[in-house]
Amino acid sequence: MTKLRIAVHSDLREHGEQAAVYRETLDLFGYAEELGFDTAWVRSYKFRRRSGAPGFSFPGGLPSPLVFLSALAARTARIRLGTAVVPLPLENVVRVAEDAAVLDALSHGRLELGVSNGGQPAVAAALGVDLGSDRDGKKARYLESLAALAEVLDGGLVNGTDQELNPPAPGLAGRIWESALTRQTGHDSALRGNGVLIGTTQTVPAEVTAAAYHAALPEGAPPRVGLVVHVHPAADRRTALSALEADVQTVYAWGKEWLPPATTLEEKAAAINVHYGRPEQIAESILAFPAFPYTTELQFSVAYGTTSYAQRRAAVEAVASEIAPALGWKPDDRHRVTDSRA
Amino acid sequence: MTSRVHDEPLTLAAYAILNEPGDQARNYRAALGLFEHAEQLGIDGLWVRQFHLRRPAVATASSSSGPEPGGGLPSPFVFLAWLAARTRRLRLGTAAVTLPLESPLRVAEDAAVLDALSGGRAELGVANGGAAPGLAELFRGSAAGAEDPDARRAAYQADLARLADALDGAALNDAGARLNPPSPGLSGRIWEATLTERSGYDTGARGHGVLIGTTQTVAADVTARAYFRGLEAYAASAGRHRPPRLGLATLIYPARDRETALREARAGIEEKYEWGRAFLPPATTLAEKAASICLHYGTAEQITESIAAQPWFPYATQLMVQTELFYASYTQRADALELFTGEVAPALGWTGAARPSNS
Repeated sequence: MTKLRIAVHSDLREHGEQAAVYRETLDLFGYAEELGFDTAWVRSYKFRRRSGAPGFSFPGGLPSPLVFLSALAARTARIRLGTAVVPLPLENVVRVAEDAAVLDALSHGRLELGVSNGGQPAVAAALGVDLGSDRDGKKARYLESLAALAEVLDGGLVNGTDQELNPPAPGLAGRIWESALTRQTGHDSALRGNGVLIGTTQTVPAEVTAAAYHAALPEGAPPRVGLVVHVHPAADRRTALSALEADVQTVYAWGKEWLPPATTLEEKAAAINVHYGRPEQIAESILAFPAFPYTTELQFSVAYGTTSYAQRRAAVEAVASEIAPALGWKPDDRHRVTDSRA
Repeated sequence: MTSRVHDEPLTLAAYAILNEPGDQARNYRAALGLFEHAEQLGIDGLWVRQFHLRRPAVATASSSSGPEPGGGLPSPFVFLAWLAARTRRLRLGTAAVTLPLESPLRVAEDAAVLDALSGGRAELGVANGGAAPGLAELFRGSAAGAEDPDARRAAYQADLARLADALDGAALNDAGARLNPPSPGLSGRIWEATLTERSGYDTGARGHGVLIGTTQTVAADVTARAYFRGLEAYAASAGRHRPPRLGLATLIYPARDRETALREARAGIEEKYEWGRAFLPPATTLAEKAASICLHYGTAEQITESIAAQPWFPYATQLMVQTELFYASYTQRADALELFTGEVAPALGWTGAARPSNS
């Protein structure tokens, strides 16, 4: 059986000045490396509205994951660096390949390149990109982009020129992950040899997508299934729920049209798959989650219900010291290197 | 020494084009080490050039692939973000992002993230260019007006305006979306790399800084004078004065005497002269060719004299020191930077080394 890996996952949408959020997240990820986490994943968001309440709904985030991860590469020695995700329809594929190749070169091959067929029409319009109104057409263009990305990363001549990618990116095409929302994309990603990144608040249950991925995976190919789990460790479930209330209400309201029906706060927390309470309660809750058996990398997010860097640091510490070990994860002793820089 | 034509303090930056053969990852990491060291030497900033793609090695009879081709750096923001984490004071510049090959808003996003990660140390150099066949289609999906210089200039100016507006927090779509993260002050740190008298003037008239190379079809002092005239036009139309920002690429090769320098740098001088023979001042001897490519070489005193005698020097507010092309090792490059900050730059009026370092 594949060894379970753990990651820290952040959307960088916490309350506060953006530059401070970026710096604190870098600190948090540096600490995660010390604790033995295998990977750090960052989400990407474009633009902000003029106003918006701070908190989960704060309309900011990180638009340039590869630039951000380069700063993390400079501060760490071992932890793997993941984009979750680069929305290919909003990007030029050659520029993505270039940025990814440079980061991979600077980080000694630590990049994990997550991509998606994402992008909202209004955002695309601002970028001068026409997504079209036809879903099939958008999907077809995404698949073309994805194929071109892998080919350019593998050193093929760049379309329309007599030139190749520089710097070379050996092996990076084998470290592409796709954001997968449906049974079909889980299945297709497996056939393409890519990993899949699965969220827990989706229209299709995570285990359906994950099972389709495994079923389609060619014999002998190592599976790569990343699953985002939101956790909130506390002294007990009641205390946790009280801290989580505002974020749970906001997230549930955002997704209530397609989330499982829920009325009470407990039901809503269950509907958005937040795992909370004492560390052993969180471990039990994750073990009982239907997608867990399919998961090769648990991507822990500690954003819900936390309002300070100190709280997030404590939550990440609880993941590494109690929650993940109860799920069968062991830190690799060879990885217990806090800084191998010259 | 030549008197300067402005009152701005002279600042000092390292400048690298990073276009070298060999293992690219190793080259990048060695360069990063050099630039960390540059901060320790008191250097104020760093500029890195952008190159896209490269020609593959050509197979020969004796090997399945030819010599490792040169390269370059396609992603200056990714590279500079690494340095943002490892330095405290060094200003981090792109010299320059080829704007016609980029989405102006993606450039704005990357620049804003770099600025946030570095505590406001980004210097955003951009350039018109990318006219080689096929490139515009590849990177922007269209090549409208690629053949027509006026159309290209108009498209470049539109991109530049879009970039500056985004950095200033303008609404980007009907829904009122703004650039995130906010980038206060960054639009005041735009520089343009220019090649001609006209573009030098236009850059000044937009109130931007200017980045000038010394091996160009138009003499650097011509572009520099045009830039200062443009700045006056900016002040007249905007009703406010912008201090000049004029960076000059300065290629150096220190040695114990000029003969030794020429002997050691011969291959690099010949190569660079051949590259620019069509537009460089004509030269026959090696010393003439070194002068033609604007290489400053020899002892610290000789390098100082050579730079001070340049017609462009009175206009420069920043020397962008390049230690590439001729160097056998990174140790030798570090030694050259140390000589420059310790002896050459102070003799030219630079006082930055006396400033206490935060790091």
